Amino acid sequence: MLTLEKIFASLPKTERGKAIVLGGDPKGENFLYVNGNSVFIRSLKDPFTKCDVYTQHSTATGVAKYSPSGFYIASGDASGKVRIWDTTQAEHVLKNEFHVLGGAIRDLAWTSDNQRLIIVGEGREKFGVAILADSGASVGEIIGHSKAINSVDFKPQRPFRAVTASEDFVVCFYEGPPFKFKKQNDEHTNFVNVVRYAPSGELFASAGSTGRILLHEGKTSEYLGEIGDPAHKGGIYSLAFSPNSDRLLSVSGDKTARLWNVQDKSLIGEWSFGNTINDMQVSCLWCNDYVITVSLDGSLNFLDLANPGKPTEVIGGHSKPITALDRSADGRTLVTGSTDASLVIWDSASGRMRRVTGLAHKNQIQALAVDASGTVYSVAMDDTLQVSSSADAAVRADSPAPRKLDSQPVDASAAADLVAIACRQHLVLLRSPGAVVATVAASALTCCALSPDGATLAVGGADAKAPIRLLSTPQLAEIQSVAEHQAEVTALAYSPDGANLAAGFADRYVRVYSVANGYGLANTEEWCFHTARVNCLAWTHDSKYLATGSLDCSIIVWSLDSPRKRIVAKNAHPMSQITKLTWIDANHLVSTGQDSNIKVWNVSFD
Amino acid sequence: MASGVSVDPQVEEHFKAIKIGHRYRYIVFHIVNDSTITTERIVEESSYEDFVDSLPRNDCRYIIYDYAYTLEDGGKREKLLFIHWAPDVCKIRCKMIYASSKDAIKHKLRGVVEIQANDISEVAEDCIRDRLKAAGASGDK
Repeated sequence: MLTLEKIFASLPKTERGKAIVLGGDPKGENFLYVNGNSVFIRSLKDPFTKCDVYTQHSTATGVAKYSPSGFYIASGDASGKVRIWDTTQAEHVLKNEFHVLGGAIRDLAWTSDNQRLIIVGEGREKFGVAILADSGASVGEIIGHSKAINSVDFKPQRPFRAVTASEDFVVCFYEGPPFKFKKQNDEHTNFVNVVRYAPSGELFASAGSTGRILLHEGKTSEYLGEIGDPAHKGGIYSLAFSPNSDRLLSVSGDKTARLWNVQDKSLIGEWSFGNTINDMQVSCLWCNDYVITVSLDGSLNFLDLANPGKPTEVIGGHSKPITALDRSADGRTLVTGSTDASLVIWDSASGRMRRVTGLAHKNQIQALAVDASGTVYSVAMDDTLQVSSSADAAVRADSPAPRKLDSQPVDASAAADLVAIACRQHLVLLRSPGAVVATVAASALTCCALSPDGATLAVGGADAKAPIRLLSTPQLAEIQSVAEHQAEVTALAYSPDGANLAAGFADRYVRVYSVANGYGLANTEEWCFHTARVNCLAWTHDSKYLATGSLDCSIIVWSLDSPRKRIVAKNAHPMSQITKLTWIDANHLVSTGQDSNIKVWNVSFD
Repeated sequence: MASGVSVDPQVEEHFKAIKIGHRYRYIVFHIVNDSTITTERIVEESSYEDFVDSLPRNDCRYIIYDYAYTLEDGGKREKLLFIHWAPDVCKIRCKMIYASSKDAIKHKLRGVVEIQANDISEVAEDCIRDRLKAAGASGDK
């Protein structure tokens, strides 16, 4: 049985020039953000390894917020649908789904009595709706805007008031219920990105692309004045009030977060995050004692209010699908690569990570291999090869490896002191730390695997007559071909004891070939239990079990001793194919998915 | 029938024996000379795994299997499975003839749960259980 032990979750999806919205848990245990079609419910106490992922949306999600009671979450997606679902059960039973807008939902807010919702975003004629959470019936009109609405908030106490902020430079004010347009505030002179009520309800603050923060009276929307002059040098993307309403945090594209005293409008502290584009701050959240900001690269920064200057904890990782994975020899370190050309080094026990700096890759990481010394060989779709050190999380400048390969790389494998890189049209064999030993031409390669002693290189491709070929090292001369199977080989892996070669095929079959038996099939049992293309293979350290991951979102662990036994984890990464697998010790399997998550599974074999 | 294949009268007798008398564990039928469906083998007792092992890997068959199983709540059930075994790897002509003659034999076999299987994973016991569960939920067929 596979039991999920840890999840190194995906970061939020960000877009330059756009604010994203985080949702805080009223109980102060979790926070919410979205990426892809998923909603992430991440623990505040243990954000490194604990996260729940909700995957029931059918299009890209835009925002998720807890109801004030904490029992429900409302999440909106790009098709204009909002789903209201239960938080108390692991299955997240759907309570209601409403199709409310004609475009993407950007923000939503609950009234404090959990009854009503205002949902705003893009649309054709209307940009926001006010509905009852139980029935979807309308409780007012959100009018007064001519462009997409970016942000909405309710006054937390009765009498209820609501405010919306839009791309048409206007902040509108509503009274209700039913919510009726009352007033238009046009002090802003550019996009308004965010509007938030103070928890006391006495005032609300709005901010936007001009970098100014404006305060208005909570009950009447009367203009009260400005914080800072202007508050930030760049556009402001998010605001968060402290729970007792006396302080306000603002984050901006000028790569800083600032903490303000709301009463006398003075600056209390400032955090600066660096000077690259990725250090722009696009969101913030104040949830009880936790203060979080989000950088443009998706990193979650935890701030300590008593110590301005730098964030105390930064959670990095991937926000795009993970395409490459390998581990160090001792299994303590994981290395992952993603479609956005980033390479991350993980501690497999704690989930803490560092991003590799100085990479030449500009496109999707295709594959990576870690050799016995912890050196990482990564290849990307832009034909670049980079050698970096997993210990320093930095590029190794001393490597003689060529920067550019002649054709597009598809797979990499390391064994002994050799590293093989399979490209579409040729094969390259390197010796640590990167000297080229041999290069041969090939055609339509898809994968490769070095035997543990480094003596044999198996390469797989789309050639129906000889999908798998065996080459000797270091000359790369062909020894023999294996298997007459019609389908394309998608993955190859030698067992650690060197006795077997496993192959995954595009027609969902998994086959194991016995080396001692001249690469004949190691068992007669047909391993056809995946329902789609097999993407990846990983042997246990004792060479007795083989884990396979597939396009069908499932992981199967096969037993070599009793080929009929298997452990199946269906929907291991729900709605997302399994891209890579590796074992970090005797019974812990790591999987990565198209959903950008890394999952650590505890496998019990009986 | 559609393919012009007829059913040997013995097939019906064997079926009655397994349905009413529970005398066999399973019966394997095949098409002889592209013209008649006849009984190939009758097995009185066998484990399900041995049965799966005995299936030809590159030829089609029809099978009637007297399947007894226990529900999660302890209830005992018996179902007659009619398995249309047509592995992906076998010849297209063979698959066509078995598919187009299926109605002919099914006509003679009342009160069975039909299961189409194209590879080993679809006759695996857990897969059969799932299908029986699904068939039970939507009313026995």
